[in-house]
Amino acid sequence: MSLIASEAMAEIRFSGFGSVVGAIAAGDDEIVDNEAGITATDAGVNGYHGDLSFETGSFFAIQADADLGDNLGATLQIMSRGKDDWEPEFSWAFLSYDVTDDWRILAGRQRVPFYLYSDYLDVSYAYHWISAPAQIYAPPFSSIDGLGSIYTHNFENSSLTGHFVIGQDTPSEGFQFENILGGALTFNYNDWLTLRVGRFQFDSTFEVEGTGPVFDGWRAAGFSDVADRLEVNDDEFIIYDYAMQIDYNDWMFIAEYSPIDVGDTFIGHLKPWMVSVGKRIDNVMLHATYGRYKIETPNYVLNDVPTGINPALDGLAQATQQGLLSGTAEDTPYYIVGARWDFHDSAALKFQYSAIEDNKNNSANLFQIALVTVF
Amino acid sequence: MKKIINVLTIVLVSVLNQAVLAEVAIIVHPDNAASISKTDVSKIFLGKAKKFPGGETAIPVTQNSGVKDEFNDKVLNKSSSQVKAFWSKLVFTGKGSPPKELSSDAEVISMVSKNPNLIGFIDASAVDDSVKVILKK
Repeated sequence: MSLIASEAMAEIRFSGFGSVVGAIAAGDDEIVDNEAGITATDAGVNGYHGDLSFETGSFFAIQADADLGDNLGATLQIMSRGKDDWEPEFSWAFLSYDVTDDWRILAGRQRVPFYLYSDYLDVSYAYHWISAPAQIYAPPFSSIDGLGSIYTHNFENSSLTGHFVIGQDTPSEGFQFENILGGALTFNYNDWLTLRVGRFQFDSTFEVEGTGPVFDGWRAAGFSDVADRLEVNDDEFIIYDYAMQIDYNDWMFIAEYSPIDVGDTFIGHLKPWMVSVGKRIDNVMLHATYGRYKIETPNYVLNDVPTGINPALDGLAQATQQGLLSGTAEDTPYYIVGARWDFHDSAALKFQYSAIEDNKNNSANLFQIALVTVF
Repeated sequence: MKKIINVLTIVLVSVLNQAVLAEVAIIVHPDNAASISKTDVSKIFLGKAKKFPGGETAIPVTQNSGVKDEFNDKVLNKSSSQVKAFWSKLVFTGKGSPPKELSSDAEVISMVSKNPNLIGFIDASAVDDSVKVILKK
């Protein structure tokens, strides 16, 4: 719809957002200097190490929205991240069609609404943290090429939105995620209460460095079954999400639990959760978050392997337990405290301190300061 | 000491300025006969309703001047930063777009008086008879 009834040209609107983030990690070397790993604490603490860095967490995005008329629109977003050497990439590019006032269909590259903040995860201006906790907000992929359907039913004082997607992810560096299908239902009551539930399934295939020889070992020993179950090869993963958000007067409360079912693969079921509380005082918000990062490994996969018969087999079983199963299981806490200052209409200054632990009692802290904006 | 006094003066002056609050008038085209409540206005300006109670298409327009903060606070019950955050969640996910932003009371009056689907807000003192006031806060 255009303001001047006779306008025929496509109207293009530009907008964007960005974050300049400075951060430094401190603590045990096992975490701070860690370059590899498969948990949320890999590569230091969320990618930060012991030196002050402004590149790792900073990024900018430009979005172009075109109104093509007849309820058709096109959206393009290009993002440039410091940690990717500022190389621009299309985060999404899709056509949208408004079937009715309440129902929009998207076709093209779009974000998957796994979690409460997934849709606008990069728009730091829209929430209180500098970036949402990586223990939950680090899905294996964030966008798909496919179809999306967003339908909102508005009641007198509440609304119910269903966002469903189906599509594929573009394979990269040995990671393949296919046949992505799922959706999320969000119920909002009188603007202050939000309840959300989501379920997304996809088929995964990838290899983690160092695991290949272990699986080969099991096959050579005559236990292909063990290798097939533990390996990630066309295995169905399911990401669930249960979240609640309360935004009442000056108080904010969020609780989210987002388990990932990975079948029998050695990755182990992820069961991260968190609660976050915030209080607004004038244009400052103070917040504190507590959560747990839990991984439950499928140790039972080795139950049928006889022990004490063959020392080589025992060695393989032990290596598998230590390196892939109980050795990587985890149930560790994380804490975040921070402040957000809305000093300007379109920008906010944020400070944040986070503390994490790994499953071997190592701990690390992260200090961040960020200037975030939307325009 | 001098710096503190200067800062305090600035803070005091801005607080006093805010104490003299402007009255906000929500306006529509004179031919718009719909009965519109504050809740309806809030829903239209937050993209939750796309039609007036009578069924006509509703197109909200905002303006980027002083009365905007008053409008956001009194009618939407949100600070301007909260409104901005609210729209960022929709804009940057392709789910919606914020109302067109004009630059003055005069521009809002000019556009609203010409299009029966528009709804806007202005400083109550700027109201003239080319538009119809449906709410004052």
